[in-house]
Amino acid sequence: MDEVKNINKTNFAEEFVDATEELVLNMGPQHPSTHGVLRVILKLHHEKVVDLDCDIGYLHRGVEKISETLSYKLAAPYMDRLDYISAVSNNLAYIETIEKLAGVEVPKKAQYIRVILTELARISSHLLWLATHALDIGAMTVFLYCFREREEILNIFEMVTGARLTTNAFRIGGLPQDVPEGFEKAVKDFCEILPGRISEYEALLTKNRIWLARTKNVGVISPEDAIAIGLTGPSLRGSGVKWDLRKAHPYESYNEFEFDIPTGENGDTYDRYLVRLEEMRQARRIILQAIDGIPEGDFTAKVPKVLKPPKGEVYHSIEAPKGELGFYVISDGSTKPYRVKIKGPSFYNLQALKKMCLGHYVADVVAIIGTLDIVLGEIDR
Amino acid sequence: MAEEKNKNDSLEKGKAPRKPPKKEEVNLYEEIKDFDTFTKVKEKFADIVLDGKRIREQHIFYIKNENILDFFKYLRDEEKYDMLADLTAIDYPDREKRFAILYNIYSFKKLERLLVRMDIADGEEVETVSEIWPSANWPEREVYDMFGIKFKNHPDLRRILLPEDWKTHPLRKDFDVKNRDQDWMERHLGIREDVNSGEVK
Amino acid sequence: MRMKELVSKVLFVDLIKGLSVTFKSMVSHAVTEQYPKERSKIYERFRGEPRMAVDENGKTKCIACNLCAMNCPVGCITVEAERDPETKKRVLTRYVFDMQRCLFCGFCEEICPVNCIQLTTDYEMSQYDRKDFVLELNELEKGMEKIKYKK
Ligand code: SF4
Ligand code: SF4
Repeated sequence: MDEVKNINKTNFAEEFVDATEELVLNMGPQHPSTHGVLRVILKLHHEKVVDLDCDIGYLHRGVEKISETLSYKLAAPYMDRLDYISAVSNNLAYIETIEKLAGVEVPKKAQYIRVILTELARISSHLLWLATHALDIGAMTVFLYCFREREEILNIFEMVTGARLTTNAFRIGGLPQDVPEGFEKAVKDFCEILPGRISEYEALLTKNRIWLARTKNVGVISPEDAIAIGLTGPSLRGSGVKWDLRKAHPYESYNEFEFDIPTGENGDTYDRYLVRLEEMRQARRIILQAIDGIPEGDFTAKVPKVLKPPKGEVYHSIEAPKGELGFYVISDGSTKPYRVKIKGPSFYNLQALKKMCLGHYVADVVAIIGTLDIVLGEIDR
Repeated sequence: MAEEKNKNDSLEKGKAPRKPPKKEEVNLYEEIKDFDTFTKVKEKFADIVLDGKRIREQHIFYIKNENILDFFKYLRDEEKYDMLADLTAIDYPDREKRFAILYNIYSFKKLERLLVRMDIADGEEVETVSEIWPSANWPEREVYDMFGIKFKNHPDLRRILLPEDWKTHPLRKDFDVKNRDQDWMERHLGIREDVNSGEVK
Repeated sequence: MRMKELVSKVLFVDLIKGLSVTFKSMVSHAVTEQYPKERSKIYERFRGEPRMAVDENGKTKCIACNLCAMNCPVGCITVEAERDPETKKRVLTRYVFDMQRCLFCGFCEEICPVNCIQLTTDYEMSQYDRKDFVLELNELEKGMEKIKYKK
């Protein structure tokens, strides 16, 4: 009886505010907009994020440990499964690291084809990013359109490498086999349709008032903060830092191609969106230059069947679609690596989530996770 | 068993006739020449910086686990190595100082990468660098998770990839799938494996 | 400038522009496939269901060299062989391919000296039972038994 009286006495509004002073909300790991199995524990004040913690590791497969038990060649298919959206780039980074360690010179022809395939992978990764990012924010149409174009790229991958997603595209020393007939035509056809399709997305999104409201001034990060927290890739360039490993430390034949590095100004979600769209166009530019200039020659170098790199350690990184993807490999002179460390861009990019989300609404968290373009296969390794 | 045998004799068969000529050991490590930063830090931090090497155009510094914060602060502020690109550890169970910690820092001004390696013994604590480079927060947690190396003054030193109540440190060389945490699996998944046959009970 | 923005906002220019794209694709041809009836084109290099080749006499081509098993990252191939006392050749006695673990990386196909193990372009590999994924030599030669879904 007393309790009832008490309830009657209390001011409900005040009580309510007190009760929602801090609310802990669990987002994920099965939330569709966390792009995998990311669990974000949000501490909310009303609808604003005051604190945030990421729980990762649901997809931990121990790739680093597995590759210690396999020979250099056999670990490569596992690397495809890190960032499964752009398996080709992962494969390239790993293979290049081993080549650098063992001192293998790759023929020019193989390099050009590698460039074409990795740039296609970049476009496909950005398309998938745009699709899911737009879907998170509520633009369903873009999702379907992007998958339509991505399909074309996957067809090219299937034609060249034999698989659509986990391509296992390269071997130490070059390519497993020469490109098939019709490759050039398929790539050129795709490059033909791409600009029109990108302007379709732009027509749907760039000036759209809902899109602007959801992305402008959301998740702003200054260039200094971005560098300090270790952001790389388009997320860093969105803040205005003009840094691209393809230009800064050219690998393969990237120094022979002309392309620009798009950068943003405000470092918000909208700028990162523009940067990625422009990157797709630049990737197309590189592909067109490369496909016209594929030199004659071998598609693979002579590599011993049992590869034993000399003792040593090498860190090599490439500009993957999501940022700097590096491999640190230590060889002890045997057929198996002593240690393989994978520096996945998403792992470092996700660290910025806290910084970017504080003070924003819950709904913006979804947009910010989308704009960071994370893939959990690589974060958890 | 039969498979094992096959493997062995096919190996012998394949290898015996064409034994590769004994190759000379290639030494990839070179001495550092004309690297400004190295001369400077060698002078300034003579007691910390032990050595410097160059391997495949990449500079590696070897340091001691003493006053590393000053050293890294100097690298960040004076030498402009403004990003910590990666941080990891390597396990050498045979060595006296069992672990090596590897800092991979990058300078956007100079477009230069620098590896800094530090040997530490098992159980030795390392000062965290997450004050200097905030990006070190998660990688340090990962190193703690995978190797069991503790970082002093770390803001939030918990396991990151593995569950909080997991016991072993899997990237140590003496870890094997066979000694994974069976108690944990029983507690959370309700299964227990026979470590030898891999059967699940 | 501000005036122009305001006018376009009031007139819903941005939305109309977007909708025009949607309407355009409404009248263009469909890009989807009606899967079981229509099948997409599979390229020659596709790595799908494993198959073991046979020679003219219907015998297996495999020479039991074990290279495929050694070059498999996950170890899903088991080769058992015996030495024939007369010809001193190794004869295959059992070949097991565990498809559940296969990565479809294609290393086995690449390394096989007689082109015996091949990854074909068949992609319909679903089964109702896990043990049906472990293929023995005769299944590998014929191809997997396909389960037809009946209503
Ligand atoms: S495709 Fe790869 S994983 Fe599958 S059996 Fe062959 S080598 Fe093994
Ligand atoms: S590599 Fe070919 S020939 Fe050798 S065991 Fe395998 S299938 Fe048989």
